[in-house]
Amino acid sequence: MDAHIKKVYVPMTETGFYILLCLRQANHGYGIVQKVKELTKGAIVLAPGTMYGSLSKMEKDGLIRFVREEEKRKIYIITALGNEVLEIEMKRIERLYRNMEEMK
Amino acid sequence: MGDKKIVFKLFTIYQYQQEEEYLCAMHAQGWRVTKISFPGFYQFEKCEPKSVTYRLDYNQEGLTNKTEYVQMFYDCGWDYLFEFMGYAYFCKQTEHSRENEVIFCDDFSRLEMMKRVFQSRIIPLIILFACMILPQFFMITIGYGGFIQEVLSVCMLLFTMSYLVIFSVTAYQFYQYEKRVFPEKAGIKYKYCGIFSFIVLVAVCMGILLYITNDSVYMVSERADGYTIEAERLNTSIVREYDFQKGDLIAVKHEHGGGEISIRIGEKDKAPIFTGNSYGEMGDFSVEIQAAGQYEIECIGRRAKGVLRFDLK
Repeated sequence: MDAHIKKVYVPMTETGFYILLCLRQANHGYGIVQKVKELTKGAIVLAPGTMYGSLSKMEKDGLIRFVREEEKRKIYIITALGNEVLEIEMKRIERLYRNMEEMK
Repeated sequence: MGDKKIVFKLFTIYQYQQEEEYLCAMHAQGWRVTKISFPGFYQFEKCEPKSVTYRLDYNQEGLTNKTEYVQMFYDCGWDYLFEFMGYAYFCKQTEHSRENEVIFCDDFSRLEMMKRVFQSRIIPLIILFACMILPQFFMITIGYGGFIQEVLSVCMLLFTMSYLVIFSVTAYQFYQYEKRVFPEKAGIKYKYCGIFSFIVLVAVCMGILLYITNDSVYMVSERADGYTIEAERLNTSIVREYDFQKGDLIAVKHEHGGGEISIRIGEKDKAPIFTGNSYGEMGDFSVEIQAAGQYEIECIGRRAKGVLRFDLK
């Protein structure tokens, strides 16, 4: 993996994590906002400035790719590289959780 | 009382939060902003006083893909108003929400926005930097003396000062943001101290260069009937005093070679009987003294070589 990618996305922000997680299925920005709101029961509401910026950045870095446009909304899906990065992050979170449980 | 008004208010590019608060306050008083025609000039239209939130985003890519960009914000409840100088202005009703409405939900993306602003503003700063260097090149290579030298030096000083101020303020505000976003990250302080030192170093180098170029390097050799001046840099004038009689001739022969020379001949505290400079192509000339007295011959220039020869009666 690119050193640059590692530097930016390992570890990744909570926002980034949720975006990649949701984009394992094709979706658009607002769809991700709604999904995350649902998942976290309203605790996390992603904001448009963050969402738009993150999606552009991830697309440029090759973690997601553009699929099609629907009703003025761009639909994206995760790429192989995106999955790779997501896996690293998921392992990290799992390890964090395991250790947390052990030390509780 | 009209339905429209224009208010002049200046916010720097980093004061976007204050700008947001200002627009909210205006709307609460019954004035909503319609557009900005020129930096600092806000156009307002009368409206119903409401509690709203204004937020600014800086995203050039968003503005080029405006449809999707605006749509995303609209989906999240934000109305796109207008853009100005790369900033997009959004507004949301906040009558019923208790929380602060924001368009960035984490500091990381907020910092990214600041980075975008910084990157776009770096170009005018580079131009400013070039403006600092250019007068230097002029002064060193082509060579000017006297008035032009002073003007260029003052310009260079002004540019250097603005460079120091603008770059330092920019670096400081960026430092504050980065410190807030990455409190655990080590070495942020050192990084910015380094950046700041570099900025100051450049300014100091400019200052030294300015001092060197303003220093005079010249040689005056006496002759039996006058004197010769050879000046690499002559920023201060050489003044020689002589007693002349009526009918005496002062002949000036000066060699060009890319330099400039300015000559002034006259009685002390009286109007000069001759002034000339090589911009005006004075060429070689001679001046005849009409009235006896003590005369001053003043020369100033750069890369100048001239012979002043007296033909005394």
